[in-house]
Amino acid sequence: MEDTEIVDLYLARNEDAIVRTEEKYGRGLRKIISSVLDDEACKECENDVYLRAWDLIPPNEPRDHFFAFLGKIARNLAIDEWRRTNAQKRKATMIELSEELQECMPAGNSVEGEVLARELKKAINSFLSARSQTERKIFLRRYWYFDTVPEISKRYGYTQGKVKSVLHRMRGELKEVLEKEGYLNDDK
Amino acid sequence: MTTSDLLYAIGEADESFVDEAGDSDAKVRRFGAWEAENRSGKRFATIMKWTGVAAMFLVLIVAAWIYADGGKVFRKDGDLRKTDEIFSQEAITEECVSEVIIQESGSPSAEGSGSIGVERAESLSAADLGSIGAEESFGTEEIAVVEGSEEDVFDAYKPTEEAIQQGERVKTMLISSFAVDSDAEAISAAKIRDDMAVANGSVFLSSSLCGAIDYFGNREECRYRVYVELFQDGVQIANDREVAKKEVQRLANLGYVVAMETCSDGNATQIYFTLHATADQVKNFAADAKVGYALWLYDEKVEVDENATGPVDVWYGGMNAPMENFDGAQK
Repeated sequence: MEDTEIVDLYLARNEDAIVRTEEKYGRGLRKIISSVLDDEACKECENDVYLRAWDLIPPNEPRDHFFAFLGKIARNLAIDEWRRTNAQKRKATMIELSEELQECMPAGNSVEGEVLARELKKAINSFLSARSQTERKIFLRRYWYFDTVPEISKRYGYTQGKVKSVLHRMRGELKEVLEKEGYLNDDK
Repeated sequence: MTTSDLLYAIGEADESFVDEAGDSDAKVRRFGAWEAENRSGKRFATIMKWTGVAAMFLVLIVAAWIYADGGKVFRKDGDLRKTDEIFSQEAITEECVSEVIIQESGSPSAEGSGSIGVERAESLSAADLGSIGAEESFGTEEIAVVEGSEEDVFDAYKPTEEAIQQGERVKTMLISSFAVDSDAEAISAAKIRDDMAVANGSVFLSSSLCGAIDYFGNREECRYRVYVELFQDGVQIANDREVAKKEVQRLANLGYVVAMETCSDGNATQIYFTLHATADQVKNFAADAKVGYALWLYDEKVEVDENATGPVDVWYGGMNAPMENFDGAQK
């Protein structure tokens, strides 16, 4: 079923919308969630994603990028749950990923709340749009889709070394961008 | 700001970027499964699926006929004529080689330009070509720009009879990149990506490597810088595994000049398994029945990483030579 038809089901408040969503994108959403949470929490989180999508459509009508819309919900819910989780139960993938992103952030920043979220979003999109398609894909597969390096390597046919190099370089460049924009110093 | 904030922010990435990164799913799915998601494509998918199956049977029948007929098979006797049929040579013309420039390492020629990327010239003993003892060391000659026809260039490198007899050090050209038809290259890259592995006892040669060998042939002064990927039972073997190390030593003992390059980019150490091989050594590759091989030209697989730090350690081995560590890059 096309995304636009599924969105129409949501707008018509037809509960078949959730069934169709799960059929088409359940696997992809579970992949994202399972990278963050353990099996026990996964199922619950997945159900929350569908519920949240039901609440958000309408007023949203994500006909063009439906999976991106769902994936964002899934990511955010999973990360929320991950933050609440006892540290000892955290998945190795997220610990590793978190450590990698730490490279983008030196100590001593003081940007707060809503302003941070809005401005960071702009900075990230600006950073990504200035990169090549290959770099963007690798970066997002790692930090949006939570793929592991071997998975990314297999997907694109690159060596793992190349994937790691690209990610390492991009984290360095992201850090420079964030510092230049003033997110990572005490002045902002 | 915390890493979680950064994670949330990345999650707000433009949806078109997210879909762009997700679209690759379509390329790696089985053809039938992708088409089945198309609203009007279920029947089409079924038809295409069975057409594909029929085509596969046809290919197998033809391959069996060629084999039974004693024809040239891709790997069996090393003859590359079958490869010529698969990979287009249209991009390679005499006009493309009116000027050959010897380039420094890490700057391969532009794709589709028809020009040839050649690695730095290295000194090898004429008597030991293809068989370097551990006591030999590699030096890097001063890079020279040679303009003129292809023959002019090779004439500059061809060892004289006297030099060979006296075992004098002569230059060789180490070829690490070669431009071929872009479709052939895509087929080559897609094949190894889709297959994911090379079967035990088999050897896959990339289109660029085949193109280079077809073009330059088995000249005495030519070596091909081959990047090697190893597979066993359908799984790629990391180069720091024992299996890989044994394979390297085995090939060195058979007379291949092997190089294990290690490089640190500050984040991870990478190990590249490469050969400096003659055309014959590539075409008649001494494969082990328990290992699969994918052979590429070096520049197809290795990019110069500007952030790489630390020395590049290169190990060379030759006929019956123990593996010794040479700091070749700094000589």
